[in-house]
Amino acid sequence: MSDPVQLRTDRPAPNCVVLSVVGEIDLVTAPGLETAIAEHVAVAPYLVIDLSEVTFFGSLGLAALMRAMNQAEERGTRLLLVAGQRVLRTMDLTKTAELFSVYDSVDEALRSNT
Amino acid sequence: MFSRRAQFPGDAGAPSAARRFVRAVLAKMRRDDLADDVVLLASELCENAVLHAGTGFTIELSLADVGDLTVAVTDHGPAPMELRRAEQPANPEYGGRGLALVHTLATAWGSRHDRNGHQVWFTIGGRVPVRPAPPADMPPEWPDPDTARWLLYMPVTEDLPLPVVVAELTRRLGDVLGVPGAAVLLDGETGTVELAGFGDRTRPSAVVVPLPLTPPRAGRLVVHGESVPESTTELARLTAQRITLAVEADQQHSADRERWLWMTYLAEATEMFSNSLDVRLTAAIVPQVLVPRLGRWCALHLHDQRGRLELAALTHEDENALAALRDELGPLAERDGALSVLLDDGADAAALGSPLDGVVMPLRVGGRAIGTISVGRPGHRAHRPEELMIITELTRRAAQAVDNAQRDSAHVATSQALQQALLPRALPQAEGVRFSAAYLPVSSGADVGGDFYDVLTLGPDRWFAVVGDVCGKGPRAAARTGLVRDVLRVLLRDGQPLARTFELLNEMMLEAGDPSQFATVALALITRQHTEPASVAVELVLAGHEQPALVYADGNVSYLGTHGSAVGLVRKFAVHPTRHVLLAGDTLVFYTDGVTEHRRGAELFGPERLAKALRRAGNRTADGLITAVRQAVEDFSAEAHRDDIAMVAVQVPPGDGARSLE
Repeated sequence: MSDPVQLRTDRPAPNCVVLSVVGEIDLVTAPGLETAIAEHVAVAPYLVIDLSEVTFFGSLGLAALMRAMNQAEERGTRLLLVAGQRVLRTMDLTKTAELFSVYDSVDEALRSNT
Repeated sequence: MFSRRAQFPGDAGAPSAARRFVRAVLAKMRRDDLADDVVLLASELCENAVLHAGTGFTIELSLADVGDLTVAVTDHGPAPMELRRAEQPANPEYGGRGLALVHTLATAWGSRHDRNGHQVWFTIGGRVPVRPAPPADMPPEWPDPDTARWLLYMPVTEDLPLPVVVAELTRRLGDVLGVPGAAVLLDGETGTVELAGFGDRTRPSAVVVPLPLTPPRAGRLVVHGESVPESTTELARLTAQRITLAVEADQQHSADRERWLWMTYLAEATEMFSNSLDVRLTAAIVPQVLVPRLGRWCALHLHDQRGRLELAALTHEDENALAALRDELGPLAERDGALSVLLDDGADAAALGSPLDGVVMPLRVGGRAIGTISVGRPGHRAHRPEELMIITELTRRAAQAVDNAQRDSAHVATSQALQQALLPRALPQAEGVRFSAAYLPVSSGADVGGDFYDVLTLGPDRWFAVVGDVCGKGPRAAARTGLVRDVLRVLLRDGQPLARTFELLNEMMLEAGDPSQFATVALALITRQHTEPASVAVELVLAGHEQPALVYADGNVSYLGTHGSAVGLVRKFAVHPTRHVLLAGDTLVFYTDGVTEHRRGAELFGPERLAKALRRAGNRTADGLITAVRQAVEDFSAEAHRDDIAMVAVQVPPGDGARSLE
């Protein structure tokens, strides 16, 4: 019954993947997101996850991102986040924002990568 | 209260549906401002329900009037809370952040477990989602402005008695706190009294707040009840401050009123003290004024002539206690008694021990002690400081009044003695001429005038009779009277003519250099004529004095003499002696203005009434005529004499005719 989350993958550079997430990240969608992230972490040295169009981001979404972060570190993949207000609000409230590299836009995240 | 509820199945999609429901309800509540946070938290609770209970759940939103929003999510799982905890994800690093979010965002949250399931709820603050931090110096439970206004505001009116104001303030506190009873207690001289209170004061006291009164005054506000809200102490403190304001304002008001009453009392007392110049009367008034206002009893002791303290006046509220009081005071007045010791020490006051229980103060005038005033306690308490101040002040004024009266009586006694000494001890007795005289001092004896009379033998057939009035009163006038009398005696004995005698007297009076001292004199030089029938030649001088009345043997009356200057007044002095002959039965009556100026209201006795009294006299001897005048003056008016009266009558014994040789 929840809006299905839409995932879109872009490859602006050979070593860089941008994963865009649109919709709610919740009990239903979080596991799928987590799987998608894990697949990209395995192949790309740089992964940008664009969460700017996420309309709901609760503790389950946060938990999925934190697990993905751990995997990325294990694989030596750099994980960069682009977060909108909803995501930042949840990270701020749980004091987890500092665990991630958060950027305002995909372009900004990509520039930091060069 | 606005509330909405909805049930959801226990599947993974339920939280998303619940989030839409919550967002819609919030829009209806017009609390979109809260939507994002409330949806976030509600979703966490819904996901928990689905994940851990695996059952359907109910979500309920309630918006309270004050703006607080409560969200409760109840699942239908049978598992107790403890069990659920154990079931939570094994890796806390990744999970368990849901309740952390609730804890961070909600103003309150909690969980409840019963047979219907497990409920987790949270409340998010209303229009002020985050409570502003109170200023550092403010108590943490400072009431909101409306509550404070309700607690403290009272109309400013003097008509409301203090207990009413305090009762209202106390009742309001009770209303706000919802406690069963409260009371305001004041510590007074006679113990603690309840100023005001309401409700059940037999319940245990939950909070006691002191009233911040100015010491030594003290009091407290007591809130009763088994359990009271947390804010009780702070609110009670606020009310205690307001009550203190009311109590102190009231005390200030009554202090002003009391001060005014004391001032009035003092003024009235002083007037009563000064009303009398009689020592015994003044002394008697003093204790009457003090009792019972300033004490149950009061005793006035005055020094007698030998310098010993003597009880001059005594009053007790209870007349039956007078005798015992007198006995107890007796030894205190002795040489080594408390009263005498106080005067010897020069102290300002001393306490009188049991059983008298009072205070004694010295009566002093210009540093000289004239006695003591002892005042018993009012009731069964010691004198208050303000009462002691009033007693001190009354003592000072009483001392002045008693001293005035004592001086005055001494002065009167002196003057009267002096005056008596100036009057002839006995009148001459002679054949063919009779003398009679009277002297009436002013009734009260307080003001001795300068009236005098004299009759002196100058030779075998010659006498002089004189009546005079020396201006002024008291010893100075008496001394001047002596001068006038002696100068006249000397000059007339020396044979000086009458006119010359008066000129010399005038010069002597002027030389004395006291312009306020002059005298009016009527003098007759009387020569017995060896005629048959007997007659008397009279040479009359009026120096500013009233004309004497000649009462003929047949009762007719005429006034004789020509007016001249009063002596001692001006240098340009002139008298005009006149000559007359008295025949048998004729009487020449001299008098002072005390007779003609004797008053009845604004009316004077006057020469007409005098003439009438003389004419109608039943007994026309010299004595009889004087008595008749005296009687007429007294009948005319019972008013006290304002002036002395001196009269002299010179008569040719009756049996013979009389005629004037004018």
